[in-house]
Amino acid sequence: MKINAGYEMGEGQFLRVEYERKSGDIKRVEPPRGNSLEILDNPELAKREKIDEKGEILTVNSGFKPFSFVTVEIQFKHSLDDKKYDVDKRLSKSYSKDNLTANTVYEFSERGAATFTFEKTRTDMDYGFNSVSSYTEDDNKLGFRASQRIGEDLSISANGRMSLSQKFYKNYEENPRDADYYYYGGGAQMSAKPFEKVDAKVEVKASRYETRNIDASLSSDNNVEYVYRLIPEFSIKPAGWISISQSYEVKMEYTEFTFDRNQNYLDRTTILDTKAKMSFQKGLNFGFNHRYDMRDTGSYLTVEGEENYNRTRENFKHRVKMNVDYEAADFLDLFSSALFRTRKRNSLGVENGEKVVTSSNFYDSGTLRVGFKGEKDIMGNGNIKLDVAYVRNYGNRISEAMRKYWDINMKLTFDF
Amino acid sequence: MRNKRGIILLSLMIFALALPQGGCLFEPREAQDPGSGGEDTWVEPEVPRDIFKNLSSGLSEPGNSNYERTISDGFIFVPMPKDEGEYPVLTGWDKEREMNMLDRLKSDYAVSREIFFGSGSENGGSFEVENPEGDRPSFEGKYRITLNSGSEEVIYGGVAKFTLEAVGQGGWKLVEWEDKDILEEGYGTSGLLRGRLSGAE
Repeated sequence: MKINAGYEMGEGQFLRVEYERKSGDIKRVEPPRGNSLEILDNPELAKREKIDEKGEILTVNSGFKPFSFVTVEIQFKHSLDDKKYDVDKRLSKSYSKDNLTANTVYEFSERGAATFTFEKTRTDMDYGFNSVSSYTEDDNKLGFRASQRIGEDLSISANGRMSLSQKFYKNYEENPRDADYYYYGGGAQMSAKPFEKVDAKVEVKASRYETRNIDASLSSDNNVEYVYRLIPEFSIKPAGWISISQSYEVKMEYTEFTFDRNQNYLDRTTILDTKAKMSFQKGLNFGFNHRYDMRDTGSYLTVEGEENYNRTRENFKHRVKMNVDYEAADFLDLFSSALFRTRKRNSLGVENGEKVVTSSNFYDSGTLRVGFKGEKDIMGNGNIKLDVAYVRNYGNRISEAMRKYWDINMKLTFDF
Repeated sequence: MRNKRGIILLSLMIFALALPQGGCLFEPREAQDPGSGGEDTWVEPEVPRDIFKNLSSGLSEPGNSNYERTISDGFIFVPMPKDEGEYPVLTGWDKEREMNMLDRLKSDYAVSREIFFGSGSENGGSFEVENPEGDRPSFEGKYRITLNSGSEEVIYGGVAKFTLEAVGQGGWKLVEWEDKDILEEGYGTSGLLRGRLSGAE
């Protein structure tokens, strides 16, 4: 059964209600759980199952515009899904969810807008009398996003989010897994064109996520995860035939155990990516890309009030890619590319009171690819695509068959 | 008009800032000080196969952090087709579902939980097929899960391919668990266990 009703009073002002309900039962023969093949030898293990099903969804949507520059939308949604198994009762599940979401869009200037979102959800999960896993969960979320464009060359945006999810187990004495998950974070982005031939962008993000088990039997696992990220990026086009771009990323992930500080750890990543494209003459293009990736990990311990970072591993990666493409004819491109990769991985330890590299391994590899590709219409109703390349790979983990080979692809199409 | 816009923006910002300060909606509960026990110590994965020790302790112990830290944010579980036919909830299985399943597993089988990967004397020590090198090493072999709820002991098992990736804290994480075969007649796979614990869809 489904019912819809609604009322509109012009742009952005409305009230809509939808209600859907279903119920019924399913009767079927279920094979034995675990291994369906058992039924061939022991057909008596099959069970005649009856599943009673019930479900409903109620949605209320409303919107209004208190001012021409403010839009408010509120949604309420209730859903219920109930399945009861007569024989295999452990599969029974009753799930209900109530959600209220309010969304406000505020256009504070001709080129700027802010959005505020608030969401509240209650979930009830019931697995029946046979299980101690039933729980209710409360979820609250608050979000904010704003952007403003200033002139033609500058735009700024910011966002923030906060959420708290709380799990309450119904049989707490037998199953004390109550937990709270608390998150807040935010970020900002700025794009600008400081000079005619230069584009720049900066992005900053930070977040904190806490897992808080309530009971003493689990709270030693409580921890907070912090993530910080900074990504500046710029591109420059000094002349029509050349463009250069560079992006830099610094990321820090730090987990702090609330009670058991010996488990704290830190993961740092630094990436520098440089790209250049050149076009010396029509049809001849040259590309260059270098990527440097450095990551180190380790523990972050507090000893006598002082925080010490104990690095246990460091990784350095370089990747250089160069390619030349030449458009020899409308239907034919010649190409060549070369890729070089190196990776150094150090494990760190302490010997005689000094930090030393306890083991290290180095790996380098590369690929050279030369060939041509083309596409041409033939005989009025056909088309041929051809991609031919000679490939050479090197590296100490490359199998003999992959060291050098021809890679040939052809596609022939005719329309009848 | 400009004043009106300013007042509204100010009100919304005060509302956004005041809401969390209000306490009730965004204030987590106080946790009790930890009792004795707690989770097994995290094993820094020096080599890819070390992750199996953390998966095992993450399943056995009441806390989830060893398990949670061992599986990648992009984790997927690939069921056997017959398990997926029986439990459509297994389609698109990701980290969030895995962690919800783990919570329920620890609730339903509160007495003891054990998982053993590979064969040999050491957990994760030896697999039928091993590709331990590169950025995406993989291991294919047997696993066996023994669960005790107090009123019953059940055993699940199978043959699976475990694919790792070199990202995140500690160096290695499990990014894919693909069930390939049953362990032997009579045992359900991890896909069946995941499906049963997630309820029929």
